[in-house]
Amino acid sequence: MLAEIKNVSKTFESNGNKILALDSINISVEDNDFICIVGPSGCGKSTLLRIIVGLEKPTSGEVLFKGKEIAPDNPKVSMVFQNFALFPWLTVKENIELVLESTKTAREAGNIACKYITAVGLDGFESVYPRELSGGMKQRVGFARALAVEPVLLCMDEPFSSLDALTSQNLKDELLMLWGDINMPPDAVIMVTHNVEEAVYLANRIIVLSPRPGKIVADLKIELERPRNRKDPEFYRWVDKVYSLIV
Amino acid sequence: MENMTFPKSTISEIIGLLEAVNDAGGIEDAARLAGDFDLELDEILPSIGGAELLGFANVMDGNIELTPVAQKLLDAGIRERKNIIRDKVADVELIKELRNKLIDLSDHKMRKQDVLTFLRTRISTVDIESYFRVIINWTRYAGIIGYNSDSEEICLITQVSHPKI
Repeated sequence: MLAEIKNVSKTFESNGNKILALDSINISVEDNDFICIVGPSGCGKSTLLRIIVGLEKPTSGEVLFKGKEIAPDNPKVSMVFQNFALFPWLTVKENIELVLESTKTAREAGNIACKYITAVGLDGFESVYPRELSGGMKQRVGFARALAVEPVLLCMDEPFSSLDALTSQNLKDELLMLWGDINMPPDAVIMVTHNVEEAVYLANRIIVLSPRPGKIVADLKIELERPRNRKDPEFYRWVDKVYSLIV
Repeated sequence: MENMTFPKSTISEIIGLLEAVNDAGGIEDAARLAGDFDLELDEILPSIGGAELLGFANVMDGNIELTPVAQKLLDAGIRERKNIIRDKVADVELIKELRNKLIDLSDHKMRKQDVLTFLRTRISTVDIESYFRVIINWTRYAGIIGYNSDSEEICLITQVSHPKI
Protein backbone atom coordinates (compact mmCIF):
# COMPACT_ATOMS: atom_id res chain seq x y z
CA MET A 1 0.00 0.00 0.00
CA LEU A 2 1.29 3.42 -1.02
CA ALA A 3 -0.66 5.67 1.30
CA GLU A 4 -3.34 5.26 3.88
CA ILE A 5 -5.78 7.89 5.08
CA LYS A 6 -7.04 6.59 8.42
CA ASN A 7 -10.11 7.99 10.17
CA VAL A 8 -9.25 11.54 9.13
CA SER A 9 -11.57 14.24 10.46
CA LYS A 10 -11.13 18.00 10.30
CA THR A 11 -12.86 20.66 12.35
CA PHE A 12 -12.53 24.40 11.73
CA GLU A 13 -13.39 27.11 14.21
CA SER A 14 -15.34 30.15 13.10
CA ASN A 15 -16.61 32.85 15.52
CA GLY A 16 -16.29 30.39 18.38
CA ASN A 17 -18.31 27.73 16.53
CA LYS A 18 -16.81 24.41 15.59
CA ILE A 19 -17.55 23.31 12.03
CA LEU A 20 -16.92 19.72 11.07
CA ALA A 21 -15.49 19.79 7.54
CA LEU A 22 -14.40 16.16 7.11
CA ASP A 23 -15.76 13.19 8.99
CA SER A 24 -13.92 9.86 9.40
CA ILE A 25 -12.33 9.56 5.97
CA ASN A 26 -10.64 6.25 5.18
CA ILE A 27 -8.86 5.70 1.86
CA SER A 28 -6.18 3.21 0.90
CA VAL A 29 -4.08 4.33 -2.07
CA GLU A 30 -2.49 1.53 -4.06
CA ASP A 31 0.10 1.52 -6.87
CA ASN A 32 -1.46 2.47 -10.23
CA ASP A 33 -4.46 4.14 -8.62
CA PHE A 34 -5.71 7.22 -10.45
CA ILE A 35 -8.19 8.48 -7.88
CA CYS A 36 -10.52 11.40 -8.46
CA ILE A 37 -12.23 12.87 -5.41
CA VAL A 38 -15.52 14.52 -6.33
CA GLY A 39 -18.30 16.07 -4.32
CA PRO A 40 -20.44 19.18 -3.99
CA SER A 41 -18.90 22.57 -3.45
CA GLY A 42 -17.68 23.03 0.12
CA CYS A 43 -17.57 19.32 0.93
CA GLY A 44 -13.91 19.48 1.96
CA LYS A 45 -12.29 17.94 -1.16
CA SER A 46 -9.41 20.41 -1.28
CA THR A 47 -8.96 20.29 2.51
CA LEU A 48 -8.68 16.52 2.27
CA LEU A 49 -6.03 16.84 -0.45
CA ARG A 50 -4.05 19.34 1.64
CA ILE A 51 -4.16 16.88 4.56
CA ILE A 52 -3.04 14.02 2.28
CA VAL A 53 0.03 15.95 1.09
CA GLY A 54 0.81 17.08 4.63
CA LEU A 55 0.12 20.79 4.12
CA GLU A 56 -2.59 20.70 6.77
CA LYS A 57 -2.99 18.62 9.94
CA PRO A 58 -6.15 16.60 10.51
CA THR A 59 -8.01 17.27 13.77
CA SER A 60 -8.03 13.52 14.32
CA GLY A 61 -6.83 10.51 12.40
CA GLU A 62 -3.63 10.19 10.39
CA VAL A 63 -2.16 9.93 6.91
CA LEU A 64 0.52 7.33 6.38
CA PHE A 65 2.83 7.30 3.39
CA LYS A 66 4.50 3.92 2.97
CA GLY A 67 3.68 3.21 6.61
CA LYS A 68 5.06 6.47 8.03
CA GLU A 69 3.26 9.67 8.96
CA ILE A 70 3.20 12.10 6.03
CA ALA A 71 5.41 15.20 6.25
CA PRO A 72 4.88 18.42 4.25
CA ASP A 73 8.39 18.20 2.82
CA ASN A 74 8.03 14.60 1.64
CA PRO A 75 9.88 14.61 -1.70
CA LYS A 76 7.94 11.58 -2.89
CA VAL A 77 4.66 13.49 -2.94
CA SER A 78 4.13 16.48 -5.18
CA MET A 79 1.30 18.80 -6.03
CA VAL A 80 -0.20 20.49 -9.07
CA PHE A 81 -2.24 23.61 -8.28
CA GLN A 82 -5.33 25.08 -9.86
CA ASN A 83 -3.72 28.47 -10.45
CA PHE A 84 -0.34 27.07 -11.54
CA ALA A 85 1.56 28.72 -8.62
CA LEU A 86 4.51 29.73 -10.79
CA PHE A 87 6.97 32.41 -9.73
CA PRO A 88 6.51 35.20 -12.30
CA TRP A 89 10.09 36.45 -12.03
CA LEU A 90 11.55 33.03 -12.86
CA THR A 91 11.71 31.43 -16.29
CA VAL A 92 10.07 28.08 -17.06
CA LYS A 93 13.33 26.25 -16.41
CA GLU A 94 14.09 28.19 -13.23
CA ASN A 95 10.61 27.50 -11.85
CA ILE A 96 11.29 23.79 -12.21
CA GLU A 97 14.89 23.92 -10.98
CA LEU A 98 13.71 25.66 -7.82
CA VAL A 99 11.98 22.56 -6.46
CA LEU A 100 15.21 20.59 -6.94
CA GLU A 101 17.44 23.17 -5.27
CA SER A 102 17.67 21.44 -1.89
CA THR A 103 18.30 17.93 -3.19
CA LYS A 104 20.32 18.28 -6.41
CA THR A 105 23.38 20.12 -7.68
CA ALA A 106 22.71 22.99 -10.08
CA ARG A 107 23.86 20.84 -12.99
CA GLU A 108 21.64 17.90 -12.00
CA ALA A 109 18.68 20.24 -11.46
CA GLY A 110 19.23 21.74 -14.93
CA ASN A 111 19.32 18.31 -16.57
CA ILE A 112 16.23 17.08 -14.75
CA ALA A 113 14.34 20.28 -15.54
CA CYS A 114 15.17 19.87 -19.24
CA LYS A 115 14.05 16.22 -19.17
CA TYR A 116 10.60 17.10 -17.85
CA ILE A 117 10.25 20.24 -19.97
CA THR A 118 10.75 17.99 -22.98
CA ALA A 119 8.39 15.33 -21.60
CA VAL A 120 5.52 17.82 -21.45
CA GLY A 121 6.36 19.24 -24.89
CA LEU A 122 7.66 22.58 -23.67
CA ASP A 123 11.15 22.42 -25.15
CA GLY A 124 11.77 25.82 -26.71
CA PHE A 125 10.12 27.55 -23.75
CA GLU A 126 12.96 27.07 -21.24
CA SER A 127 13.86 30.75 -20.95
CA VAL A 128 10.32 32.08 -21.25
CA TYR A 129 8.60 33.84 -18.33
CA PRO A 130 5.15 32.72 -17.14
CA ARG A 131 3.52 35.98 -18.29
CA GLU A 132 4.31 35.00 -21.88
CA LEU A 133 2.62 31.62 -21.60
CA SER A 134 -0.97 30.64 -22.32
CA GLY A 135 -2.89 28.95 -19.49
CA GLY A 136 -2.28 25.54 -21.02
CA MET A 137 1.45 26.15 -21.23
CA LYS A 138 1.52 27.37 -17.61
CA GLN A 139 -0.14 24.21 -16.41
CA ARG A 140 2.30 22.12 -18.46
CA VAL A 141 5.04 23.83 -16.43
CA GLY A 142 3.02 22.89 -13.32
CA PHE A 143 3.06 19.24 -14.44
CA ALA A 144 6.78 19.34 -15.29
CA ARG A 145 7.61 20.88 -11.93
CA ALA A 146 5.55 18.29 -10.04
CA LEU A 147 7.11 15.42 -12.02
CA ALA A 148 10.66 16.77 -11.67
CA VAL A 149 10.88 15.61 -8.05
CA GLU A 150 10.01 12.14 -9.40
CA PRO A 151 7.15 11.68 -6.98
CA VAL A 152 5.61 8.38 -6.06
CA LEU A 153 2.29 10.09 -5.39
CA LEU A 154 1.08 13.06 -7.46
CA CYS A 155 -1.72 15.16 -6.01
CA MET A 156 -3.65 17.65 -8.14
CA ASP A 157 -6.15 20.23 -6.98
CA GLU A 158 -8.56 21.13 -9.81
CA PRO A 159 -5.69 21.31 -12.31
CA PHE A 160 -7.90 22.04 -15.32
CA SER A 161 -10.46 24.41 -13.86
CA SER A 162 -8.53 27.60 -14.72
CA LEU A 163 -8.25 26.60 -18.37
CA ASP A 164 -10.62 27.16 -21.26
CA ALA A 165 -12.62 24.11 -22.33
CA LEU A 166 -10.57 23.16 -25.41
CA THR A 167 -7.19 23.56 -23.71
CA SER A 168 -8.45 21.56 -20.77
CA GLN A 169 -9.49 18.73 -23.12
CA ASN A 170 -6.01 18.70 -24.66
CA LEU A 171 -4.20 18.72 -21.32
CA LYS A 172 -6.27 15.86 -19.92
CA ASP A 173 -5.18 13.68 -22.82
CA GLU A 174 -1.57 14.71 -22.40
CA LEU A 175 -1.78 13.95 -18.67
CA LEU A 176 -3.05 10.45 -19.53
CA MET A 177 -0.16 10.01 -21.97
CA LEU A 178 2.32 10.88 -19.21
CA TRP A 179 0.45 8.62 -16.78
CA GLY A 180 0.55 5.75 -19.28
CA ASP A 181 4.30 6.10 -19.83
CA ILE A 182 6.04 3.53 -17.65
CA ASN A 183 9.23 5.62 -17.63
CA MET A 184 7.42 8.51 -15.98
CA PRO A 185 6.60 9.04 -12.32
CA PRO A 186 4.32 8.80 -10.34
CA ASP A 187 2.98 5.44 -9.14
CA ALA A 188 -0.39 6.90 -8.17
CA VAL A 189 -2.43 10.06 -8.66
CA ILE A 190 -5.03 11.69 -6.44
CA MET A 191 -6.95 14.50 -8.09
CA VAL A 192 -9.68 16.73 -6.73
CA THR A 193 -12.25 17.96 -9.20
CA HIS A 194 -15.78 19.32 -9.23
CA ASN A 195 -16.19 18.11 -12.82
CA VAL A 196 -17.75 14.64 -12.92
CA GLU A 197 -17.12 14.09 -16.64
CA GLU A 198 -13.47 14.90 -16.08
CA ALA A 199 -13.31 12.39 -13.23
CA VAL A 200 -14.91 9.62 -15.30
CA TYR A 201 -12.59 10.42 -18.22
CA LEU A 202 -9.41 10.25 -16.14
CA ALA A 203 -9.84 8.06 -13.09
CA ASN A 204 -9.79 4.36 -12.49
CA ARG A 205 -11.29 5.06 -9.08
CA ILE A 206 -13.73 7.80 -8.02
CA ILE A 207 -14.36 8.70 -4.40
CA VAL A 208 -17.57 10.65 -3.85
CA LEU A 209 -17.85 12.91 -0.82
CA SER A 210 -21.13 14.01 0.75
CA PRO A 211 -22.02 17.68 1.42
CA ARG A 212 -20.35 19.10 4.54
CA PRO A 213 -19.26 17.39 6.63
CA GLY A 214 -17.51 15.47 3.87
CA LYS A 215 -17.93 11.73 4.30
CA ILE A 216 -17.20 9.04 1.75
CA VAL A 217 -20.48 8.01 0.17
CA ALA A 218 -18.97 5.86 -2.58
CA ASP A 219 -15.63 4.48 -3.70
CA LEU A 220 -16.17 3.36 -7.30
CA LYS A 221 -13.88 1.41 -9.60
CA ILE A 222 -14.38 2.83 -13.09
CA GLU A 223 -14.43 -0.14 -15.41
CA LEU A 224 -14.22 1.70 -18.72
CA GLU A 225 -11.58 0.77 -21.26
CA ARG A 226 -9.04 3.37 -22.33
CA PRO A 227 -8.93 5.46 -24.40
CA ARG A 228 -12.30 6.64 -23.16
CA ASN A 229 -14.75 8.33 -25.45
CA ARG A 230 -16.93 11.09 -24.03
CA LYS A 231 -19.60 10.32 -26.60
CA ASP A 232 -19.84 6.67 -25.57
CA PRO A 233 -23.24 5.84 -23.92
CA GLU A 234 -21.39 3.73 -21.32
CA PHE A 235 -19.27 6.77 -20.43
CA TYR A 236 -22.46 8.73 -19.74
CA ARG A 237 -23.91 5.91 -17.65
CA TRP A 238 -20.91 6.35 -15.35
CA VAL A 239 -21.29 10.13 -15.36
CA ASP A 240 -24.98 9.76 -14.42
CA LYS A 241 -24.13 7.26 -11.72
CA VAL A 242 -21.60 9.58 -10.08
CA TYR A 243 -23.95 12.59 -10.39
CA SER A 244 -26.73 10.61 -8.73
CA LEU A 245 -24.44 10.00 -5.76
CA ILE A 246 -23.59 13.69 -5.44
CA VAL A 247 -27.03 15.29 -5.71
CA MET B 1 0.15 42.36 -50.70
CA GLU B 2 -3.23 40.84 -49.93
CA ASN B 3 -4.39 40.86 -46.33
CA MET B 4 -4.38 37.46 -44.67
CA THR B 5 -6.54 36.20 -41.86
CA PHE B 6 -4.89 34.47 -38.98
CA PRO B 7 -6.78 32.50 -36.32
CA LYS B 8 -6.31 33.69 -32.76
CA SER B 9 -6.09 30.26 -31.16
CA THR B 10 -3.36 28.46 -29.25
CA ILE B 11 -1.97 25.08 -30.31
CA SER B 12 -3.51 23.53 -27.17
CA GLU B 13 -6.99 24.79 -28.09
CA ILE B 14 -6.61 23.44 -31.63
CA ILE B 15 -5.58 19.98 -30.41
CA GLY B 16 -8.42 20.04 -27.86
CA LEU B 17 -10.85 20.74 -30.68
CA LEU B 18 -9.43 17.88 -32.77
CA GLU B 19 -9.77 15.52 -29.81
CA ALA B 20 -13.41 16.47 -29.41
CA VAL B 21 -14.12 15.91 -33.12
CA ASN B 22 -12.35 12.57 -32.87
CA ASP B 23 -14.61 11.55 -29.98
CA ALA B 24 -17.56 12.29 -32.24
CA GLY B 25 -16.24 9.85 -34.85
CA GLY B 26 -13.99 12.15 -36.88
CA ILE B 27 -16.67 14.54 -38.10
CA GLU B 28 -18.87 16.87 -36.08
CA ASP B 29 -21.22 19.78 -36.53
CA ALA B 30 -19.45 22.93 -35.35
CA ALA B 31 -22.48 24.31 -33.49
CA ARG B 32 -23.06 21.03 -31.69
CA LEU B 33 -19.40 20.87 -30.72
CA ALA B 34 -19.57 24.39 -29.29
CA GLY B 35 -22.69 23.37 -27.35
CA ASP B 36 -20.89 20.34 -25.90
CA PHE B 37 -18.36 22.72 -24.38
CA ASP B 38 -20.97 25.28 -23.27
CA LEU B 39 -19.41 27.75 -25.69
CA GLU B 40 -20.84 30.05 -28.32
CA LEU B 41 -20.01 29.10 -31.88
CA ASP B 42 -17.88 32.22 -32.37
CA GLU B 43 -15.76 31.18 -29.39
CA ILE B 44 -14.56 28.04 -31.16
CA LEU B 45 -14.28 29.56 -34.65
CA PRO B 46 -10.62 30.62 -34.16
CA SER B 47 -9.70 27.05 -33.19
CA ILE B 48 -11.60 25.70 -36.19
CA GLY B 49 -9.74 28.22 -38.37
CA GLY B 50 -6.44 27.16 -36.83
CA ALA B 51 -7.17 23.47 -37.42
CA GLU B 52 -8.02 24.23 -41.04
CA LEU B 53 -4.96 26.44 -41.60
CA LEU B 54 -2.67 23.72 -40.23
CA GLY B 55 -4.29 21.09 -42.44
CA PHE B 56 -5.84 19.14 -39.55
CA ALA B 57 -9.46 19.69 -40.52
CA ASN B 58 -11.70 20.36 -43.48
CA VAL B 59 -14.75 22.50 -42.84
CA MET B 60 -17.78 22.22 -45.06
CA ASP B 61 -21.46 23.04 -44.50
CA GLY B 62 -20.84 23.65 -40.80
CA ASN B 63 -19.16 20.29 -40.30
CA ILE B 64 -15.59 19.84 -39.10
CA GLU B 65 -13.91 16.75 -40.50
CA LEU B 66 -10.51 15.48 -39.41
CA THR B 67 -7.86 14.96 -42.07
CA PRO B 68 -5.62 11.85 -42.06
CA VAL B 69 -2.74 13.90 -40.63
CA ALA B 70 -4.98 15.00 -37.73
CA GLN B 71 -5.70 11.35 -37.03
CA LYS B 72 -1.96 10.69 -37.09
CA LEU B 73 -1.46 13.59 -34.69
CA LEU B 74 -4.05 12.30 -32.24
CA ASP B 75 -2.61 8.78 -32.30
CA ALA B 76 0.88 10.13 -31.59
CA GLY B 77 2.64 10.75 -28.29
CA ILE B 78 3.60 14.21 -27.02
CA ARG B 79 7.00 14.22 -28.77
CA GLU B 80 5.73 13.02 -32.13
CA ARG B 81 2.81 15.44 -31.96
CA LYS B 82 5.31 18.23 -31.66
CA ASN B 83 7.14 17.07 -34.80
CA ILE B 84 3.91 16.88 -36.80
CA ILE B 85 2.91 20.36 -35.64
CA ARG B 86 6.37 21.74 -36.44
CA ASP B 87 6.00 20.67 -40.08
CA LYS B 88 2.51 22.11 -40.33
CA VAL B 89 3.35 25.43 -38.66
CA ALA B 90 6.41 25.80 -40.90
CA ASP B 91 4.05 25.49 -43.88
CA VAL B 92 1.86 28.45 -42.89
CA GLU B 93 2.44 31.23 -45.43
CA LEU B 94 2.81 34.07 -42.93
CA ILE B 95 5.27 32.09 -40.81
CA LYS B 96 7.23 31.09 -43.91
CA GLU B 97 7.57 34.75 -44.80
CA LEU B 98 8.70 35.68 -41.30
CA ARG B 99 11.19 32.83 -41.19
CA ASN B 100 12.62 33.74 -44.58
CA LYS B 101 13.09 37.31 -43.40
CA LEU B 102 15.04 36.03 -40.39
CA ILE B 103 17.19 33.81 -42.59
CA ASP B 104 18.10 36.83 -44.72
CA LEU B 105 19.22 38.85 -41.72
CA SER B 106 22.85 38.35 -40.75
CA ASP B 107 22.14 37.81 -37.04
CA HIS B 108 18.80 36.03 -37.73
CA LYS B 109 17.05 38.36 -35.30
CA MET B 110 14.32 40.96 -35.70
CA ARG B 111 13.01 43.61 -33.34
CA LYS B 112 9.45 43.11 -32.16
CA GLN B 113 8.47 46.55 -33.48
CA ASP B 114 9.66 45.55 -36.95
CA VAL B 115 7.73 42.29 -36.72
CA LEU B 116 4.58 44.22 -35.77
CA THR B 117 5.12 46.55 -38.72
CA PHE B 118 5.47 43.52 -41.00
CA LEU B 119 2.37 41.86 -39.53
CA ARG B 120 0.33 45.04 -40.07
CA THR B 121 1.03 44.72 -43.78
CA ARG B 122 -0.41 41.21 -43.75
CA ILE B 123 -3.19 41.22 -41.13
CA SER B 124 -5.84 43.87 -41.02
CA THR B 125 -6.50 44.55 -37.34
CA VAL B 126 -6.14 47.22 -34.69
CA ASP B 127 -4.92 44.61 -32.22
CA ILE B 128 -1.76 43.38 -33.93
CA GLU B 129 -0.11 42.68 -30.55
CA SER B 130 -2.47 39.80 -29.81
CA TYR B 131 -1.72 38.27 -33.22
CA PHE B 132 1.97 38.58 -32.44
CA ARG B 133 1.43 36.59 -29.23
CA VAL B 134 -0.48 33.85 -31.07
CA ILE B 135 2.12 33.57 -33.82
CA ILE B 136 4.91 33.33 -31.25
CA ASN B 137 2.88 30.70 -29.35
CA TRP B 138 2.80 28.61 -32.55
CA THR B 139 6.40 29.15 -33.61
CA ARG B 140 7.86 28.59 -30.15
CA TYR B 141 5.88 25.38 -29.73
CA ALA B 142 7.00 24.28 -33.19
CA GLY B 143 10.60 25.22 -32.42
CA ILE B 144 10.89 27.50 -35.46
CA ILE B 145 11.03 31.06 -34.17
CA GLY B 146 11.71 32.13 -30.57
CA TYR B 147 11.15 35.40 -28.76
CA ASN B 148 13.26 37.08 -26.09
CA SER B 149 10.96 39.32 -24.06
CA ASP B 150 13.91 41.07 -22.37
CA SER B 151 15.50 42.25 -25.63
CA GLU B 152 12.11 42.25 -27.44
CA GLU B 153 13.54 40.37 -30.39
CA ILE B 154 12.40 37.32 -32.29
CA CYS B 155 15.06 34.91 -33.50
CA LEU B 156 15.42 31.87 -35.67
CA ILE B 157 15.55 28.70 -33.58
CA THR B 158 16.64 26.19 -36.20
CA GLN B 159 20.32 26.90 -36.60
CA VAL B 160 21.09 24.28 -39.25
CA SER B 161 21.97 26.07 -42.51
CA HIS B 162 18.56 27.88 -42.48
CA PRO B 163 17.24 26.60 -45.80
CA LYS B 164 14.44 28.80 -47.05
CA ILE B 165 11.09 27.14 -47.30
